[in-house]
Amino acid sequence: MKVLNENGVLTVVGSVPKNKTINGSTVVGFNRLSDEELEAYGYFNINTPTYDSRIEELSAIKLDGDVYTYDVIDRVIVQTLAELKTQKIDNLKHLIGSQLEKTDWVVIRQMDSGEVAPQEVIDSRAELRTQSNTIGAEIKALTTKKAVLTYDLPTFNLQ
Amino acid sequence: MALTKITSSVLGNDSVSYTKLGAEFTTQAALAGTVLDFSLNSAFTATNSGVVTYSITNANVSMVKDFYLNGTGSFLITGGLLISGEFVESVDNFIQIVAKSSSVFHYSISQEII
Repeated sequence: MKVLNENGVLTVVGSVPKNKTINGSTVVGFNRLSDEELEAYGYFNINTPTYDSRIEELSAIKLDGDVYTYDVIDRVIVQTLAELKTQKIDNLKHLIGSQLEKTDWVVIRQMDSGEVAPQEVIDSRAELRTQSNTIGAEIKALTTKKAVLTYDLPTFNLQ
Repeated sequence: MALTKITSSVLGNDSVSYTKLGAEFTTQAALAGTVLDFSLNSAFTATNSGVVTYSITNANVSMVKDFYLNGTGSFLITGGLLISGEFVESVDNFIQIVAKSSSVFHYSISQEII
């Protein structure tokens, strides 16, 4: 990723062209030029700051001193805090549900045939529900949109 | 009366053979520098390294010359406009150059199919 500066007009380019015609002559193997040589033709490296794409985004590219970079700006979050919480809790329910599904057949078998479900399965399912309640309460207690968006749900892997 | 100029009536049809052509039409030479003198050879060879600017001298409209370029890196031919192809490193690149004028050239690059 580089930026092409043509008379002050900055264009971000995914890659440098293999060949490029400049002032009536084609530079063959243009993409093999060194960074310094490319700079002579207006192609510069970009210093991309780290950012959290869940809540932030990059501004238009700019020249800051002699460094081409972006500002990190807050994303506009159109959903309400309540909507974000509902969405996050729905995701949690989906995760928990997909884990419980793995042993649903054990519980159904017990109801159907009376064969007692193994205690570790019962315990695991109970633990999942406890975690679901705990995490759900944490999400409901969050007070900002950013906090909800950056709340990472745990990874479950019930065997 | 002495004959001072050869006219076309003197040359028989089909009388100019390859061996009668000048060196600029029949010879190949390795470039000593970066100048392709179209009046000297028909084909040129060179090994590219780094970023090299080649130039062409003594060109006239529609002259066609071959340039076999091996090596690495990048290059440009002053006044040369690439029509097709790309420079592949470390193989023989067959570059055929046509003079559009004495200072503007079109060229293509191709390689042997392996």
